[in-house]
Amino acid sequence: MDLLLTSLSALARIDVAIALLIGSVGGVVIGAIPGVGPAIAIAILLPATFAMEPIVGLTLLLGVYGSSMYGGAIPAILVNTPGTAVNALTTYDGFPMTKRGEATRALSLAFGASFCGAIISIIALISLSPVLAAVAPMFGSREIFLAALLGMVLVVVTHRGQALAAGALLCLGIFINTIGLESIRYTQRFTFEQTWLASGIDLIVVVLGLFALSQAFLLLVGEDEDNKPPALVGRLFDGLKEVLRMPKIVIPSAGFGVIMGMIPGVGEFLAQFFSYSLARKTSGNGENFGKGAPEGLVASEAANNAVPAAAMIPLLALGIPGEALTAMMLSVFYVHNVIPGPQLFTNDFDFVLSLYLALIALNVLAFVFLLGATRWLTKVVLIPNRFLGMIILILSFVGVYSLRNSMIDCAIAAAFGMFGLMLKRLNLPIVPIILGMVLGGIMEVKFRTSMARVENIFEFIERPVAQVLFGIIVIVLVAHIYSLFRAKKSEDV
Amino acid sequence: MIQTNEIGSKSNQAQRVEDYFSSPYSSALVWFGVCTFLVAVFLASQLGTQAKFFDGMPIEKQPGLWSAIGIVGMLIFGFFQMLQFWFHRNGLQAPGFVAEVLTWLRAGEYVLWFMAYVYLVPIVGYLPVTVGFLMLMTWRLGYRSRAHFAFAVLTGVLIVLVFKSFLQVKIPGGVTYEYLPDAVRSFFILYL
Repeated sequence: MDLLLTSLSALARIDVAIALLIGSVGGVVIGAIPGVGPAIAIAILLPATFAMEPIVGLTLLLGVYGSSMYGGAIPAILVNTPGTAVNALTTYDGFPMTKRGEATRALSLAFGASFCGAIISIIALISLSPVLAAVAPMFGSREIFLAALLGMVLVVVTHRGQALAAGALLCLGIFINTIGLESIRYTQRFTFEQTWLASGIDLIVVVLGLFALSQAFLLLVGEDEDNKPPALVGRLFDGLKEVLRMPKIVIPSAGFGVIMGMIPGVGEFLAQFFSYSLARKTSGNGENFGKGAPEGLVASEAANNAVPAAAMIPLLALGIPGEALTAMMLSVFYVHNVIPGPQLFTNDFDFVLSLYLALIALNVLAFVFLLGATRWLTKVVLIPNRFLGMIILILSFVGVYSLRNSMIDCAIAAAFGMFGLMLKRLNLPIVPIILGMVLGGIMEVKFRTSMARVENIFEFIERPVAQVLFGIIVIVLVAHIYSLFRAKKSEDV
Repeated sequence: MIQTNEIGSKSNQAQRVEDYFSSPYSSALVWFGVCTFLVAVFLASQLGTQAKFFDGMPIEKQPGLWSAIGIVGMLIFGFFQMLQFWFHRNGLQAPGFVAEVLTWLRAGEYVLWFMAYVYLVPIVGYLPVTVGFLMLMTWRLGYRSRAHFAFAVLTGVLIVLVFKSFLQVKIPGGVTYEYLPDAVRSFFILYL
């Protein structure tokens, strides 16, 4: 009880409350603008949060992360354009419902499903906390190394059909992270005697280039789309009641979101895909999926909104980010010398609980905001794409330049922006580069500290948690190779 | 199937997980695969000189170990990726190499805009450059209505107020602010 009160008092501070409000409302608005998305917004805001206390900065970023998918459903349903990448499946049934004249019902179902998915996810996490607090201390250097390795393996194999490209880009991320002065013998790595490379390439510069600047370039070289959202008639609250009458869809979908969110390197895409496929089989309305089935819409929205809360688990408990957004949040921790990992869960659990409570609050705020402001939000869809690209370009400057007022950082970010543009145009993944940089850094340190404590490589997996992680890695790899053989066989047939 | 589910694009209802992660196989993709592999080969050729490996030092402490892991991974994955792109080249569905490179070059113009903006902010000042750039770019992009220009000015002012005045991000005051009257100089340097 004392713990809960301490956590609540942390949230009751005016600066935290303002951050929560701005984050959740801002996240919804950002999500509603096709072409922006939470990754760009978080990348731009990141340096600004370094001057804030960790709880304030993280609340702001969590607000953007957790609420953007609510907003992303709006253009997905109204104009068949997902506001954030993870709202892609929402278009399948949302847009046909709009064409049928059921736009308000579709939006209301999406908001209700998102809210339920998020709340189920947070309740699951709070319930799991004692288990996590007990398990987290079992993770030493070896286990964290193996968990990071598992994250890398998963990020490669989950890019089905692009695993080779994902692997190459992941390794590029590992390599980029090594550039500069290393901290053991203070030798230079791949600096080519350039002084500006000696301090390495900052993760935030890369993130801003790959996510924000590349998107700005992509929009600027593209064409404006003629989006005309239909007028909304009726009440938006009714969808929540309808969603509550679909527990067989909502609970498994949120469950997928929780599980996929917790596994590093997997994320929203597979969560919503699995939940959508399951709902198609179990709903009894499978033949209408893709043609405006409410169950399909509910499954996809409940799953993707359950992910953000769950994605905080590997970050907080092990210090391992599962995807690009939590990788960015990790830098907020590092800047404030708060090291996420097992100690955080055991020694600063009030901080962790504050974040969970912040997640509940931001979902309530986002939901209430949408009930009142959706009609106004449909107008942001009208902002021309290229105009938006121009604004992202100007905003990216804030993110990069405010780090250390360096023009070189801006040039590096612009170079990564061009590289990101090429990857986006060719539909190749960007996230493996970021995860390679972050997980590569973690693995380098943990490998060094682990090897100092073992006689030979086999002692690396002598502890139970390490054995489990190693076993999962082997199973994932074997299953992936097996699925490749099966796919090849069926192609030949 | 060409994946067009990225944000800002119309959805095309991919039916399998693979459809989310499939690339529009164009000759640009083949060239991209070849170029990235060649970069990996170049980096591998520099491994001996650009990263240190000390005799007798345990492998985990070798400074060059993780650079080598990254490069070897790029070589292996990059090689097979290149082959994959090559064997799929017959199913070309997207514009070819030249059209794609021209698009990349068109984006180069905005890199120049961005770098000019970065160069001018510490000289002229954040507020005037931001507003000026947004107006110029609005014109460059072909928007001519007063509403667009008004929106550009409003956006510029809002960006400066939020980030510099309110969030106090580290953006230096412009050199030209030094010529302002004493009464407003500090205010401009600190907040605009």
